[in-house]
Amino acid sequence: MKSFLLLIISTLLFITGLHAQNSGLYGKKTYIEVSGLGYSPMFSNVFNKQNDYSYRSFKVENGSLVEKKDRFNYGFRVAIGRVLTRSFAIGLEAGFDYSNLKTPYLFEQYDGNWSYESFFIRHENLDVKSTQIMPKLEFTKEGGLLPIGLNHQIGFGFNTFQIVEREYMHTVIDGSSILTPEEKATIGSRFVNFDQRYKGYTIMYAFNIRTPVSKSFMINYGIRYTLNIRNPSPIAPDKTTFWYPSSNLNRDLGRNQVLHFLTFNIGATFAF
Amino acid sequence: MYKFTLIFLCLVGFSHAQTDFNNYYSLRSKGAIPDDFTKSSKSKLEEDLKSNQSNKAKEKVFYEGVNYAIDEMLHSGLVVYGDEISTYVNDIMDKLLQHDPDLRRKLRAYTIKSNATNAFSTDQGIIFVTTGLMAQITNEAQLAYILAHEIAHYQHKHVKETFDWKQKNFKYSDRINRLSNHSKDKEFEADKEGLLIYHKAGYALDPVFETFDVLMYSYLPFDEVQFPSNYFNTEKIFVPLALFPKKSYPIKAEEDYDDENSSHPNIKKRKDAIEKEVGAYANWGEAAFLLDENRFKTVQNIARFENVRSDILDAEYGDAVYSIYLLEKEFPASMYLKRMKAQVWLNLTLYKKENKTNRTIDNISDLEGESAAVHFLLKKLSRDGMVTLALRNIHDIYKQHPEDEEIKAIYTKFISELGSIESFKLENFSKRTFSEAAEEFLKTKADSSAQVVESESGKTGSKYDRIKKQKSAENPNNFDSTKFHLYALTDLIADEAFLSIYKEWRDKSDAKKAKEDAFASLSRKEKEKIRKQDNLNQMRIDLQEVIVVEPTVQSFRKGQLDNMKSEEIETKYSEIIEATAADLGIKVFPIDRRVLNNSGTPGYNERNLLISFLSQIAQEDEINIFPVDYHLLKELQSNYGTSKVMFTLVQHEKKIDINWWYVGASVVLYPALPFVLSMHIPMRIFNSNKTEMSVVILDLEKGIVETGSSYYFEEPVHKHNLGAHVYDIFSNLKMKPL
Repeated sequence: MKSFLLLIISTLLFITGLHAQNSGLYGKKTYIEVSGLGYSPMFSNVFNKQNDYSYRSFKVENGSLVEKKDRFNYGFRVAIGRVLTRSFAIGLEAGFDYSNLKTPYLFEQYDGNWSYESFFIRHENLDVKSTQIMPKLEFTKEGGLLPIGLNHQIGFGFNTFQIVEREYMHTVIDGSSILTPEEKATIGSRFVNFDQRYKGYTIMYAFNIRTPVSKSFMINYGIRYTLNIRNPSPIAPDKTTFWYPSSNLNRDLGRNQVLHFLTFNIGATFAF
Repeated sequence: MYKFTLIFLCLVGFSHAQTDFNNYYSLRSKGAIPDDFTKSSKSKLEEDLKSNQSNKAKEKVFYEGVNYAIDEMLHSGLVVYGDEISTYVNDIMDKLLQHDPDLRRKLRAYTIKSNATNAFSTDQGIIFVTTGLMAQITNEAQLAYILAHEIAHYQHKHVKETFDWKQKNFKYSDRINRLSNHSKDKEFEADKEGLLIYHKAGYALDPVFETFDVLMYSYLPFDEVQFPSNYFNTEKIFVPLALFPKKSYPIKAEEDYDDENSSHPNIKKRKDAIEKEVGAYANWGEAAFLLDENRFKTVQNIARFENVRSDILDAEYGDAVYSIYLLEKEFPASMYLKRMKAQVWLNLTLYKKENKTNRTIDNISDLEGESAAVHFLLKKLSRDGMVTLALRNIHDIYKQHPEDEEIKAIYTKFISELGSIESFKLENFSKRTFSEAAEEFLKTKADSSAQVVESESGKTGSKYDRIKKQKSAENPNNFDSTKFHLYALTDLIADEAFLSIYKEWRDKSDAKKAKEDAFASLSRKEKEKIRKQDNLNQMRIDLQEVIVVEPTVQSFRKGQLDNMKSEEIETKYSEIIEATAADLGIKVFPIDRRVLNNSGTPGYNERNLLISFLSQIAQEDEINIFPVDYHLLKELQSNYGTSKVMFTLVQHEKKIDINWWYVGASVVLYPALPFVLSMHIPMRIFNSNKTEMSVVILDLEKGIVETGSSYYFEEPVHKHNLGAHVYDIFSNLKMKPL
C-alpha cells in the first residue's frame, strides 16, 4: 500500500510545487525569541598570539592567579521577527555578550616627562561586555514554513564593547622580582580606561532550528558565526594615562572577537 | 409473523445468492470485517513474537517483514472478503480440509482484484486468490488443487523456511541460482503434498493436469474465440477488413521453457513430477465439482466481469474490448458491459488525443492468439478513425440508454473532449453511408460516362469551390475504404441534439484557445503576474468539507524503512489532520484503516473504492480518465455530501550526511580543519532530518486531481511540526481563489 501510494502520489505531483501563502505557526507569523548563547573560544586558545611575555590567560583560583585557558563565554539575545513569505522573514535582534580578554604581559609607559618605564604584569583576564543590535533576515529553502524549521539568518548591526569595571587580581613583576604581591584591587586607574567604549560592526550568519512544542511556543537552537569589526576611527590617545592604551585594547578586542566567531545558541520562541 | 419472517429471510438469502450480471457492480466486501483487516501491524507482530516465543533479532525481522508486507497487501485497496469469490474459495477449503478441522481453522481466504493469475499463502494462514485466476479456471477441481498446493505451503511453513534458508545462504556468490533451486524444491513439495489433500477430498485426477495448462496459458485472455471482423459494423458504420490482420498470431507458450532463474519449475517438470506421484494414490474421485456447478459458473463470471474492470483500471483497453466481446455473447443486455464498453472508447480517445495509445495497446510483435485482432485494429486506426469509432459506439449506447446516469456522463465527457480535437471536423464527414459511397464509387468507375458528367459539372462554381468538391468525401472518386470513418456519422451530422451539444463544447474549446492565445500575446511582466496569481490560487479551492483517506507515512532509519515508527507517526498524523481541520472549521470525514473496527465493511469498501480511483487517475498526467467505478463514487459522494477527497503522504529520513572527503582534505590542509569542524559537520547534523509531505485533493464529481502539492522541509516529524504544516495546507485550501 505504501509503495503503491508513494508511486501514485509521486506521479501525480511530479510537476507541482507549493506556491501557497504562508500561515506561519498555526497562523501566527510574528515572534519574539529569547536565546542564550554559549561559546568556547577554542580558536582563540589555539590560534591566539601567545608567548612567555604576552597574552597569557590568568584566572583566580583559591585566591591566587593561575594560568588557565578561557573555556566558556556566554551571552543573551532578544529578537522580534515577522514572517513575510513562506521562506523569508525579517527581524531585529539585540543582546549582550560576556567574554574576557587577556592582554600583553609586558607593558611600556612614558610618563609625562617622556621618561620611559617598562614592567611585566600578570593579571586576571579582563571581563568584556558587549552590546549588540542587529536587523536580520531569515531564509529557508523552498517548502519551508517560517518561523518553524531550519532557517538561515544573516544580520548586520552595531556593537559596543566595554571592559567591566571591577577589582582584578594582578601581580607586577620586574624581571624575576615580584614588585607587588598578588593583590585584588581596582587597577583601572593605572591599567585600562573603564569608561572607554569601543564601537564597531557585527556581521552574523546563523543556521537555526525552531521546533514547535505547542501551538505558540518553539524551542530554538542553532549555530551562529559572528564577525565583529572594530571601528577603524582613531581613539583619543591615552598612553600617558593608562598602561594599556585604549587604542591597543581596541585592536586586541577586535582580534579576540574574531577568534570567538563560533557560537551555539538555545532558547525559546513565542509566536503570536 | 414467524412465516413472514422466514419468507423475508429466504428472500434476503436468495437475493444474496443471485448475481445480476445485467446490473453488475464491482465486487465488494461483505459481512463482518475480519481481524486481519482491523488489527494494527504492530499488534500482529507482538502476537506472533509472543506465540512463537521468539526473542532473536532475526526472527523479529522475519515476523516484522511478513506482517507489514501482508498488511500492505490487505490494505492495498485490491483485497475483498466475504464476497462471492472469497466465500466460494473458503467453501472449497472446507471440502479439502474436512478431515483436518484444526488446520482449517487456521486458514482463511480473500480475493485480490487483479488480472494476474495467482494464488499465494502467507505465514499467517491467509490464502489469496486473484480474480484473474478465477477467470481462467474452468472447473472447481482446478481451483481445489491450487488451494491444496497453497495449503501445503502453509502447512510446511515454506515462507519461514525460505527466510531461514536465505539467512544461512546469503554469503554465496551464486545465491540467486541457489534460491531459485530452493524455491523450486518447495514448489515440487507443495505440488506433492497438495495432491494428498486434493485426493483425500475426492476430486478427479484430470483437473490436476488441466491446472498446469491454466497456469501456462494464463497470460492470454480467459477464452480464445475468433474475434469477428464485423463486430463493430452496424447499419451506420462499416470497418473494412483491411484494418484487421491478414494472418493469425500463434500462441507461443511452451511447457518446457527455461526456468533457470525462476522461482517455479517449468510446467513440463511439474507435470512430470506429479505424474510420478499420482500412481501412489488409488480410488481417484470422479468429481470436477463437489459444490454446485452453477455456483462455479457464477463465480467465474464475476471474475470475468472483474477482469474487464481491471483491464480498464490498468489501461489495457485492447484486452478490455476483447473481454467485453467474449462476455457480451452470454450477457447481451448487461448494462455493466455497456458502461465498460463506453468507458473503453472514451479512454482510448483520450489516449489517442494525447498520442499515448502505445501505452495501452500491445505492440504488433507481442500479439498472440485471437485477441490479436483487436490490438491490431486499434493499432492501425488513425486518430480520426479511432475518434469516430468511439463516437459511434458511445453515441449508440447512449441512444439506447439515455436514462443511464453513467452512460450520460461518459457521453457528455466524450463530446467535451471531441470539441477540443481540432483535427476532427464534422464538415469532412459524408452524408452517405459507407455502402452507399462504395456503391456509387463502383458505379462511377464502371460507368465512364459518369466521369464525363462529373467533369462537366466540375466547371460550375469558383476555382476554390471546385477544389473543395474534388477533395470532398462526397466526391465518388475520392472513396477510400481505409477512411471508413468519413461515412460513419451520416445520422449525427444531421442530428440537431448532437450538433447542439457538440457546438457548445466546440465553442468552449475555442474560447479556451482564444484565452491561451491572448495570454501568449501578453508581455513578460504581465505573464509573470498572471502566473504568480495562478500559483497562489493553486491550493485555494474554498475547501469546506473533505473526505480524508488515512495518511501514509514512511520513516527511514539508516536507509531502511522503519515500519513500526512509520505506523506510530501515521496514527499521530491522522489525529493531527482531524484536529487541525476542526480548528480551521473544515469538516473532515475520515476513511481510515485504523478505525475499521468502527466503520466496518462499509468503511473498508469506501476506502478501497477511493484507492482504486486514485490509482486510475494517476495513470497519466495529462489524461483525465473517466472513473471506472463512477456509480459507486457518486454514491459515496452523495453519502458524504462532498466530492473532495484528500490523500496525503509523508516521507521522513534522519541521516547525517557528512562528506568525509571534506574532513579528510581538511586534515591534510589543516588550516581548513576549524572551518570544516565548525561549519560542515554542525550543518550536516542540523539538517539531518529530511521530510517530504505530499497532499493530493481529488474531485469525485469532475474525476480529476483538483489540486496537489509536494514539498520538502528539513524538520523532524514531531507533532507540532506536522501540525504546523497541516495547518498551513488546510488554511490555503480553505481560501477562495483570488
